[in-house]
Amino acid sequence: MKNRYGCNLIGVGAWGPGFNNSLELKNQLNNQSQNIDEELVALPPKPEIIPANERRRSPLAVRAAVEVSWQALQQSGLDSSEVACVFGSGLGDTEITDYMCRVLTTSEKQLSPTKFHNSVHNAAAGYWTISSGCMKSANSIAAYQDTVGICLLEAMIQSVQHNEPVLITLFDMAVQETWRQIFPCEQSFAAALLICPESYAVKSSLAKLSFSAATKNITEASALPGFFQSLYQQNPAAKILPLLQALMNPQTSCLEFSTGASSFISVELQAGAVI
Amino acid sequence: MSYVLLDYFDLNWLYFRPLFSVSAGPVKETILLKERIVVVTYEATCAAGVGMDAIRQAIVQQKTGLRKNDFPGCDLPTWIGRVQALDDYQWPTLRSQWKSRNNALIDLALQQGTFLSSLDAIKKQVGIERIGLVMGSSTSSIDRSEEAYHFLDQDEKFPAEFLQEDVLNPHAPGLFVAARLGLTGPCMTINTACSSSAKVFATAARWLNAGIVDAVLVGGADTLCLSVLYGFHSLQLVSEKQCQPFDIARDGINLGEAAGFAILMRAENALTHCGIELNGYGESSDAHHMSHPHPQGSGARLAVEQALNQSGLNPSDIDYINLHGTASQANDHIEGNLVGNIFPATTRMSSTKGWTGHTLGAAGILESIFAMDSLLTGEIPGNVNLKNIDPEIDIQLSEKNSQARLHHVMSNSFGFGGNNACLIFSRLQEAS
Repeated sequence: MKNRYGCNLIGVGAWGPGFNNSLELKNQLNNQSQNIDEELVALPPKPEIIPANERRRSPLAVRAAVEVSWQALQQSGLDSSEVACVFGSGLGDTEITDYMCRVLTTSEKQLSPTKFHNSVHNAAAGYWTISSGCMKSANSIAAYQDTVGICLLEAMIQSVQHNEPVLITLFDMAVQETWRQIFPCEQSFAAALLICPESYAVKSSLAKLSFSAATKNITEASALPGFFQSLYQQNPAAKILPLLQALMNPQTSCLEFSTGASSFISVELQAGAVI
Repeated sequence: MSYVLLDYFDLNWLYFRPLFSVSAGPVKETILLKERIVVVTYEATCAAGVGMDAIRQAIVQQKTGLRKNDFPGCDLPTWIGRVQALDDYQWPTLRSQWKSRNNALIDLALQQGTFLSSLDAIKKQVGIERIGLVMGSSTSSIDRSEEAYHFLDQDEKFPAEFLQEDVLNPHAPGLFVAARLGLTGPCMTINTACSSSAKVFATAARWLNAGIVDAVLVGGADTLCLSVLYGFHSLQLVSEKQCQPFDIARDGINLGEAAGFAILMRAENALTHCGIELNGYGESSDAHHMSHPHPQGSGARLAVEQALNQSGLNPSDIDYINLHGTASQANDHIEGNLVGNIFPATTRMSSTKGWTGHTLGAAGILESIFAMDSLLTGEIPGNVNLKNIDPEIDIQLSEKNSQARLHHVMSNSFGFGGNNACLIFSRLQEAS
């Protein structure tokens, strides 16, 4: 990339073990750094934007992703109709994969039509655009352990080139029991970032982000406090945690995220920049 | 009964309403492709043929690749687009950790024609870390997961040969192609159901525009598996006959499998190209229903208008449209009336699913390749299996192929979740 590209972060959402929004995540990150040893559990997300009937039918991954998306959108003050979206999940919905594979070993092989349409990787993006009335482009990306880096890259480039706000929603749920022998992810996590290009008129910004692509990584990721380090390691979506932590840091932070075998996105974050 | 099925019954009201007065509103932004994006080469494998030479022959001869369902483990009365050559595929020992039907189809498709030698030349020119990789798929390698469950032991453990971390996650197509071809640049898999491998072109264009890479290998791959056969059956969308897109007698889809690839570069540093450029793309959402298209096609219209807007072309400039045309009641009615409303009678259109079946996440790139190939060969695929066009669909279609020198072609792809994509490809020297 010839230049660094810039955008503003104008909304954040978070849900996971011990936190139901970005403020509670911030408190947990602070708590954990004081070595408070507590068992953290995630409470069921209840995204009000999904009508109650649909919400009951929707998988946990969808509810968590839509909940954090809604939090980020509300904080941004934007209307969902002007916000494109990039959803990313490294592992997909292993509960539904397990359900389908088990049913397909039976002689009847009778799948629930609702579970089948919920099995698509873009179920969360679908529920989000339907619930929020968004007709903009919606992406759904899988890049396994590089999902966070690839989603940041895709969304930032799209935001700058299309001159439009983009919602980035990252989510991976605790993996279904049978699948843990392959993917040892025991904790659920979802987070959303709403970014817009620098030229886009907004009232306030949580942080300025600038990014460039690189073929070598330069900086080592600093360790996260306590419990969050294991969440970061086992949950592909939780690779966004260093960026969320950097929002609490008044200094400019430099972060790197892998986007391929020898490619990275380097993100410079200056928190608390008010326009 | 689930609300999905109820929705299908409720659909009847649709057929008595005119769709033409509906407008999705103005397109707000014009997204410009600053760089001219050329297609260096492309390849595909599907039921109609293994490799482009075989596919071209099947198109000219109007020879369908559909066959009565003989997929192992599936006794549904339907027709499928199966790639028979996959039966003979042997996994090299050194790559056996990548084993899945989907990866086998990817490998088979990559080896057709001169695709790999074209890629080798680009690797030498720009370096493996400057080549991006964007795959599209809806099943990834779920076929391998289905198989693994037959071998679960009493303790719910998979045998060692199925502990395939890089195959059993939804990024499997991206991870396999990167490893198989030794590419180390940015790598992703788009999983937006049936629009997946149409959207790969939009992402590739953005990456090339941004200059983060010098070439992008785009691809799509989906293979037949029990999840999709029984899944679409559960939605009552599978036909017992050969699929008949846009026909009054159509009663559902046939599932198919395919893999397709293309290499895109900025014109300024492409040493060769096939004479085609990506001239515009549109992406939108229906905001309507998970498995049913918007009744007025408002989301699809947005995608078509955005692609036209970006290319600077008028509807009358488009010579041929490869339609999504799945042969489901809803899609064909809504899409047919939408394009019939936007485009003049001089724009030829067809669905090629009568040759291939619905190849789901691979349909976007497979049908883009059909459209691109008509630019190069002048052979325009007809709408195979069309006997009597549905009088409720205001569109002109022909079962037979036609021949003409084309300048601009379009491909439509619509997926579950209300996910829409539209692409425009142009003969290089004539792009606006």
